[in-house]
Amino acid sequence: MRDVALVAAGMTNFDYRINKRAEELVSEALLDALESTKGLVLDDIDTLVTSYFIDARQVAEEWIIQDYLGHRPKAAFRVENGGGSGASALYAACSLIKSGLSETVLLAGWEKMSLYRSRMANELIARGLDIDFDFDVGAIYTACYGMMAVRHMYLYGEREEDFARIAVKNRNNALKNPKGQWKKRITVDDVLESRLIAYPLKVLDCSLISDGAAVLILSSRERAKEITDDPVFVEGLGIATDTMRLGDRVEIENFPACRSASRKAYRMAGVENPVSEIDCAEIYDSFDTVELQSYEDLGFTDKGKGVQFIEEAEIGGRLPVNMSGGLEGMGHPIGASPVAEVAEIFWQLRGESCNQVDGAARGLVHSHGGVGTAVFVGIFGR
Amino acid sequence: MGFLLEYSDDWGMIAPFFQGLREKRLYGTRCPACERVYCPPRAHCPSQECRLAETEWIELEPRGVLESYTLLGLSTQEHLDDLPLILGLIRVDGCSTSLMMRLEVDFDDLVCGARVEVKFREGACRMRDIYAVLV
Ligand SMILES: CC(C)(COP(=O)(O)OP(=O)(O)OC[C@H]1O[C@@H](n2cnc3c(N)ncnc32)[C@H](O)[C@@H]1OP(=O)(O)O)[C@@H](O)C(=O)NCCC(=O)NCCS
Ligand SMILES: [Zn+2]
Repeated sequence: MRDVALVAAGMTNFDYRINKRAEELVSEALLDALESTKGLVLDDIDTLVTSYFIDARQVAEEWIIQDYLGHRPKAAFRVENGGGSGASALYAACSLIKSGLSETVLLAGWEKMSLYRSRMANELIARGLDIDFDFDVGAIYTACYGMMAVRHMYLYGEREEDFARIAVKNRNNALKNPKGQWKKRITVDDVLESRLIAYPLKVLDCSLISDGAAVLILSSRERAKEITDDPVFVEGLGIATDTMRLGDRVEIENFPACRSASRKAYRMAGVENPVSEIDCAEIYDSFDTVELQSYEDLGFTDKGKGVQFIEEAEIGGRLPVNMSGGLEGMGHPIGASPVAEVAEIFWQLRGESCNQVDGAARGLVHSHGGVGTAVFVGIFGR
Repeated sequence: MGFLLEYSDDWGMIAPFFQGLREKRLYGTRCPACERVYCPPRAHCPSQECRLAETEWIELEPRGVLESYTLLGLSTQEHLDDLPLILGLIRVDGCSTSLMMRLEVDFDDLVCGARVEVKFREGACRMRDIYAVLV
């Protein structure tokens, strides 16, 4: 099978972007990506793969996007997999190129959440829980993640302060990201004093409600040479799944699907020891607790030892995590977020990140949908 | 901002579970092949080796173990008036899965592994109409 190259990445500022429609945001991100190429034009793209999550005001929004970009009569389709849609769309884009079905693919992810504001956005996201069971008792996603964290705290003794350190790390990383949404330096006390959403998660332990778009352009290794002198290669990919309802699992304190997905990706990429062989990572911190649990499930440290890894995840640590600010700092326009995580790793490996890890040559992207119901891990290298 | 979706119930083959709530009885389903008991109920067993075997209804004792819990400061529209709301995952005795439900308890008394009993409100027909208390 053919090697897949990332040849360009682009994104909009993440924020409440009330003055732009989704298709205008996607255009902004696409123009950002095209700028860095050797004159790639829309005509050169044969397939468009799209990702967004909330089907409420507009459904089949991908049709507006393909139409607006003038992508006709070429192949285009949406990939939906909850919060992991953008990552699954990448998985699909890679398989198109590997198989030879496509030569150059545009992957576009976006979300406009300011349309609903945070309370209604939470309601719409919560509809991704089982409507007759967990949704019916009043759960939102934060409740499910809160229960996972409570169980982890019960077994391994973390305190709320421990999770807060991750929120502080990520939000303060975002201050260096001009495209990030979070603009204020915070402390552990700020996190602890913020309003309760679902114990132990408070407002500042949670990802942001955002508008934004992110794109990636992918091609075969051969084609990549014509588009850029500095491609990044997809070395490993893994998707693994778990039950939809948290209660249907045996293990609720961690993400078994993350362990499976990462081992698949590591095997494909030939990674044996992630901490020594990977230089930087973007982890899907929809809640800071997920980042801690994922240190363990990704094999960065042993189960129950996540707290001890937090300092290693700082810039300057052994394996920096969420240099972009993550979903808590950069922002979380759901359909765009995984695409933006990959974009950050793309820029890291090219030495172009706003929060650069010295000499980064191999990076990891983790993202997921549901309560870890569909987990994606990707390994990227130079 | 208002957002109203109207639809009919979609109980399908697990209707006996919801009908049971009205009679203050808790039902689960058991796979005849692997003998796992599911609550929330499933009409077919998801264990790959059971090849979607159709399950059988069994009545469960409304008691179990609290696997985890949380205290909500935000919920969906229909439940905002009930905040702060405590939710828990309850593994009903004998089951291999847990049911998410409301807890009517003092939050500070909660600990993973606590024994709980499931209670039914008058005329219960949905998950929101049952709750658990510490025993
Ligand atoms: C945590 C979070 C709710 C904070 O949102 P915020 O806008 O910064 O916080 P606010 O204090 O403004 O409150 C949020 C909403 O709750 C409402 N609210 C606040 N206190 C409330 C209360 N006691 N009861 C009911 N509603 C309340 C507010 O009115 C606001 O609703 P609105 O925006 O629709 O008017 C939000 O950032 C969030 O939901 N993050 C997680 C997003 C998510 O789950 N993404 C997907 C993960 S996979
Ligand atoms: Zn079975």
